[in-house]
Amino acid sequence: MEVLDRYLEAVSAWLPRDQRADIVAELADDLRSELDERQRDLGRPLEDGEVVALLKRRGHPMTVAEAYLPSRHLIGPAMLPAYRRTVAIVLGVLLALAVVGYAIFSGPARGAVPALSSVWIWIWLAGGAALAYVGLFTVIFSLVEWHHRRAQATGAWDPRDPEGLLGTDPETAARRSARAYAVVEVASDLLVLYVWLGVHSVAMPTVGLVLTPAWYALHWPVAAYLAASIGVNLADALRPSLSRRHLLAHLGVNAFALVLTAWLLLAAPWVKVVGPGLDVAKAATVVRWLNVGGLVTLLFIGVFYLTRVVQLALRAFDAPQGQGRAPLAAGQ
Amino acid sequence: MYQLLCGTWSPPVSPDLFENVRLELRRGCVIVAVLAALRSEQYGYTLRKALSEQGMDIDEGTLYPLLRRLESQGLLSSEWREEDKRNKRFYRLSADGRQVLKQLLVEWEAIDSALRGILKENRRGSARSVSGSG
Repeated sequence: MEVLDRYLEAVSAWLPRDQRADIVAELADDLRSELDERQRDLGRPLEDGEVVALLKRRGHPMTVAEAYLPSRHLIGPAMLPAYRRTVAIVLGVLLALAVVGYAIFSGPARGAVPALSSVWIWIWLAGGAALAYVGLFTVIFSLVEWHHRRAQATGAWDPRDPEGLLGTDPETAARRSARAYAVVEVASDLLVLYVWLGVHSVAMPTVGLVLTPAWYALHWPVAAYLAASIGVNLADALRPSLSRRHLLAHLGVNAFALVLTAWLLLAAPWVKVVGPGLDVAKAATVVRWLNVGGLVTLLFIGVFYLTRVVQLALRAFDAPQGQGRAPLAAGQ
Repeated sequence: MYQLLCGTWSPPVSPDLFENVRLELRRGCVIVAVLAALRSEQYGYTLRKALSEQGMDIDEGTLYPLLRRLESQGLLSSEWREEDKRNKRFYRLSADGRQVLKQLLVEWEAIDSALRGILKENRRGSARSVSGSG
């Protein structure tokens, strides 16, 4: 019976290797018993259509095999809404960036970097970034899920620890928020570091916009800043704290970022046009506007880091010594 | 119409909702039924037929994985044997399974009597409220 054999083979493909033969043998006997009985009742051999109908009633081979397998999931029902929300935000931001980028390089800055005027390159860039971010957040969420499952299985949780129970009181919520912030910081710093370290290996266009040498001088200092930021935020993700040591570490990282921003601000301009055959007037306009945009962005970043450095310095001055476990304010 | 006017009418429960609750109610009972039926040795197909004849329909996708799970928990034992020129896996209640079945039946009696008590109380309560309102 060819259809039945094919069906059983398809079921066996989804089963664990060590149980495959045993399960399929039992399933085959059950199916053949049912077919025999049907034939006896009808007093004639079954037609192909009748066998197919019986197999369809049993279910798709994958569904049949699933019933024998333990229920496992990467992200459980409790974490799924937060995961979906995060992925939706990431995809929304990337889509918005791609739309804005395409609008700029296919409109006012058309011709400055010819490759960027194509809609396909933006789909490619946004798609690649989306895959990387969604993959990263999937790993992070599944690690948190695994951690909670392990705590449940080993009994390594304490009803007196509100954080372990994901409590909603302000102190616990602030600590959780600080941890989530730190996780996001680590994730984005890792991605930026990955891209930043690859900048040197990317062949710059011979015609169009290129970065000025100031960026190349900052290559390793920025990489060092990102590595330090990853380290400090990783410590926060594992154990959120407002101890002086933690605050001083954050202060150091943010002060370093402020210095790098100031260095970059003084090294203007940040982009230039190279290559022959470009419309000089048009290229000069594009470069001027890009550098103005760069100036505004860097000033904004500078003010942000300056504010954080002042805040952290004031907090570090008031903070308890050592490894205290005072909660961090949300967004810290 | 009378029910609608007096406010005692409520929309019919969706079949899906009833089916979900029914399956939940049956889940534990199926284990007791399988253990009880396997006090005498049977293979999967005849077990399914026997349960079905007693009004306890279990689909194959539930029965066979359940049999494997109960065997891995030591409540059943099984062996492959040839019958009607075909290899079949025969299941039987193990010694541990017999013990557990005995305890489960006691539990079942307790649940049954508790439920009967609750239902009797409810009937008395609703009878009182009807006579009170009249």
